[in-house]
Amino acid sequence: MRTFCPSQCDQSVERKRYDRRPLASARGSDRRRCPLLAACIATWLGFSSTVVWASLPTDMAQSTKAAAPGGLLEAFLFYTVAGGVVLSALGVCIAKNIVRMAVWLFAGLGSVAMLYFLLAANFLGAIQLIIYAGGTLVLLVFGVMLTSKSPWVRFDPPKVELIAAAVVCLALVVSLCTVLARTVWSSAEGIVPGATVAAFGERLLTTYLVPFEVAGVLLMIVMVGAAHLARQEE
Amino acid sequence: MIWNDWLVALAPEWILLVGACLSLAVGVTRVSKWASPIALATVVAALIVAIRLDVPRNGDVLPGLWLTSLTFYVRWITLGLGSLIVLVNWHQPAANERGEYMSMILFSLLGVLLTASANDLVVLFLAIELVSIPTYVLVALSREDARASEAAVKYFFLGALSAAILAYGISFLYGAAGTTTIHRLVGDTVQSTLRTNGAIGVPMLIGLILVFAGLSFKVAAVPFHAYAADVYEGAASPVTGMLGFVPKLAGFVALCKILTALDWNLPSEVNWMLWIVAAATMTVGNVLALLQKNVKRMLAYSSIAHTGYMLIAVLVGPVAGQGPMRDGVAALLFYIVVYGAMNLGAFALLACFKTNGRDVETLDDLGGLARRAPASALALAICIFSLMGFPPTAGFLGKLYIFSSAFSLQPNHPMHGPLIALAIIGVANTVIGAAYYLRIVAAVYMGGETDTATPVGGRPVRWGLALCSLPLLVLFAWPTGLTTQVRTATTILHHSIRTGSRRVAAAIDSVRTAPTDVAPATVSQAAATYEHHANP
Repeated sequence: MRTFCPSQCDQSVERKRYDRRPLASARGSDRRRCPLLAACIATWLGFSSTVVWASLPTDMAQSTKAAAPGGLLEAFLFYTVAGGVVLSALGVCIAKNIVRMAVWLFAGLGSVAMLYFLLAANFLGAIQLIIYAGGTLVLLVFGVMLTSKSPWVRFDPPKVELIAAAVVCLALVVSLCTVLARTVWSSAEGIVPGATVAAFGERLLTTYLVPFEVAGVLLMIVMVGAAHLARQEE
Repeated sequence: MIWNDWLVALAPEWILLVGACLSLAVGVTRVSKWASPIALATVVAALIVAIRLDVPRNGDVLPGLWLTSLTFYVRWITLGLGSLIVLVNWHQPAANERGEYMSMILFSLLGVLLTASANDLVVLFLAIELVSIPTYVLVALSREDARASEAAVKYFFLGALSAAILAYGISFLYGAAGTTTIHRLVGDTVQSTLRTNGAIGVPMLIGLILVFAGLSFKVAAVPFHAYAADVYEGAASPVTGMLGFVPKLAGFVALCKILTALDWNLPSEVNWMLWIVAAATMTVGNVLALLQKNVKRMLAYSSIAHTGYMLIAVLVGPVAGQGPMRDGVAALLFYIVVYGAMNLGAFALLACFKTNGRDVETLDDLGGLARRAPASALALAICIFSLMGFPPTAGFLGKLYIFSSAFSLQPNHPMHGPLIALAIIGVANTVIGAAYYLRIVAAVYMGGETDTATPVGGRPVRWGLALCSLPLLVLFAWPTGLTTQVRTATTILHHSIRTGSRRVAAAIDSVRTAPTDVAPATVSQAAATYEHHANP
C-alpha cells in the first residue's frame, strides 16, 4: 500500500516532479481540468435540485404544520452552502498544488461554518471560523512556505490509484445519498434552550464535562508530541 | 456529591493522569531517568486502587460514564499488563526523552480506562483517540532511526483517516438513534422493529459499518491491516509489544460496548461482514507471516492473525450462555489478556539483545541464542508456544475457549453453520501459524551460532520478560482465577441482553395499543420509560 510520507515525497521531488514552473503553466494545467470541475458542478447542481424538488412538498407540509416561516428559503440556503462545501472538498482532492489545496480547504471550512450558523449553532460557527479557517489553515500555509522545498510541489498519484479511489468514492457517494434521501431522521433528544453561548457553556461543564476534560488532555498530548518531534528535527 | 464521585470512582484514572504529568515534568529536569520508576509506581498504585476500589458497579457515576463489571475487568488487565509494558520499556529512549516517553505510555493506558467506562459516543471517540495519539508519538520517539520516523508518519496519517471514518460512523449512529448515550442506542432498534420486521434501520446499519471500519484500524483487521507490518518493524521492539496490545484492547472494548447497546442482535449484513473480515484477517495474517524473515514483521502479521481469532469471539457474542466455554465475549476477554502477555513477552526478548549495535530483528540474529542465554530463550519459547496455541500454555486455553464458544451456539442461531465453518478456518489457520512460530523456536534452539547477539538492557526488561512468560504457564494450570473474573465481567452483557429483549417486547406492546400516527415518538418514550424502570 502506498501512502504519502515525507521521504517518498522528497525522493519523487528530487527525481522528476520538482520543477519550478512559473505559475502560468500551473494555471494552464488547472484550466485543462476545468471540464472535470464543470462536470462535477453540473452533477451536484442536478442532484441538489432533484433533492430540493423532491423535498419541497415535505418542507411545505412541515412549515404549514409547525407554522415555521422560511422553510423554503432555509432549504435553498442549505443546499447552496452544502453545495459550496462539496465543491470545495472536491477542489481539495483535485488540486495538485498544496497551496491551492489550502485555499480550497479555506473555502470548505468557511462553508461548514456557514452551515453551523444556519443550524443556529452560532458559537460553533464562530469557533470554526476562528480556529480552523483562521488558525489552522494559516499555520498550514506557513508550514508549507517555511518547510517545503518549494511551494510548487505537485502531487501526481498514479492513474491506478486515482481510478481505484474514484470507484470507491463513487460507490460510497451513491449508497450514502440513497440512504440519506430515503431515511426519516428522528430529531435529537432535546434542543439547548435558547441555543445561547451561555447555555452551551453550561452544558459543556455539566453534561459534557468528561469529554471536555478528555479533550483538554488530548490537546496537551498533541502539543507535547508535536513540540517534541519538532525539537528532534534539529 | 459530584466531587466525591469524580474523585473516588475515577481514582485509577486520576492517578494515571497525575503520574503522567509528573513524569512529563520530571522529563525536563536533570533527573529525567526517574521517569521510569515514577511511571511504574503510578501504574502499580492505580492497579492497587482499582482492585481495592469499592464503588457501586453498574452505576451511572457521571454523565457520559457508566462503570460496569466490564469496566473493572478492563481496568485490572490494562493496569496489570501496563506495568509490564513500563518494565519492558524501562531503558528505551535516551534519558533526556524518557519523561515524555513514559508519560505517553501512561496517557495511552488512561485512554483504555476511559474507553472501558465510556457510556457516550463522544467520550468513546475521545477515549479511543487518547489511546491512539500517544502511540504515534511513541513510535517516533522510540528510536533515532529514519524508519521509525517513516513508520510514525504512516501510522499517524492512516490513524487520522480511521479516526475520521469512526467519527463519521458515530454521526450516523447519533442521527439514527437521536442520542449519543450508548446504552440508549437500542431505541432505534425498537422503532425499526415495527417498521421493517426486526431489521435494524439503514442509517444505523451504515453507522455500524463505518464504526466497525474505524475500529478495524485500531485492532488491525484485514482491509485496514496494511500499516501494521511497517509500523511494527519501524518502531523499537518494546513499543511494538505495546502497539500490539493497547490499541487492540481499546478497539475490542469499544466494539463490545456498541454491540451490547444493540443487544448483540446484529443484522445479517453486519454478521456476514464480520465473518468475511474475520476469515480474511486470520488467513492473510498467517499466510503473509509465513513469507517473512524479519521476526518483527512476522510477529506483526501474527498479531493480525490473532485479531482474526478474536473477531470469531465477537461474532459469537454472549448469546450461547455464560462462562468462556460458551460466551464469545468472555472468551475474547480471556484471550486478549493472554495475547497481550505473550505478544509483549516475544517483543521483550527482542529488546533484550543487540547484534552489532543494531536491534535484533531477523531469524539469523536469533541463531543459537539458547546456548548463551538459556533463560531468555526459554521465556521466548513459552511465549511463542502460547502464540501458537500449544497445550502447556495459556494460549491453548484462549484458542480452546474461542473455538468452543463458536461450537456451542444453538442450531437455531442464524450464524450457526457459518460460525462452525469459521471456527474450522480458525483451526486450520492455527496449523499454518505453527509453521512460522516453529521457525522462530528452531532458530533460537537449533540455529547456527552467530555469537553476535549481546545482551543489552538491564534487569527491568528481564523482569518484564519473566513476568510475561511465567503467568502463561500458571494460567494454564490454574485458569479459574481469570475465568471467574471474565464471567463476572460479562454479567452486565447478559443482564442487558435479557432486559433488552424484554424492553423491546414491552415497547411494542405499548405501541400496539396507541394511535398509529404518534407511533415512533411513543416507541422511544416507551422504551425509555421501561428502561428507567428496569435499570433505575
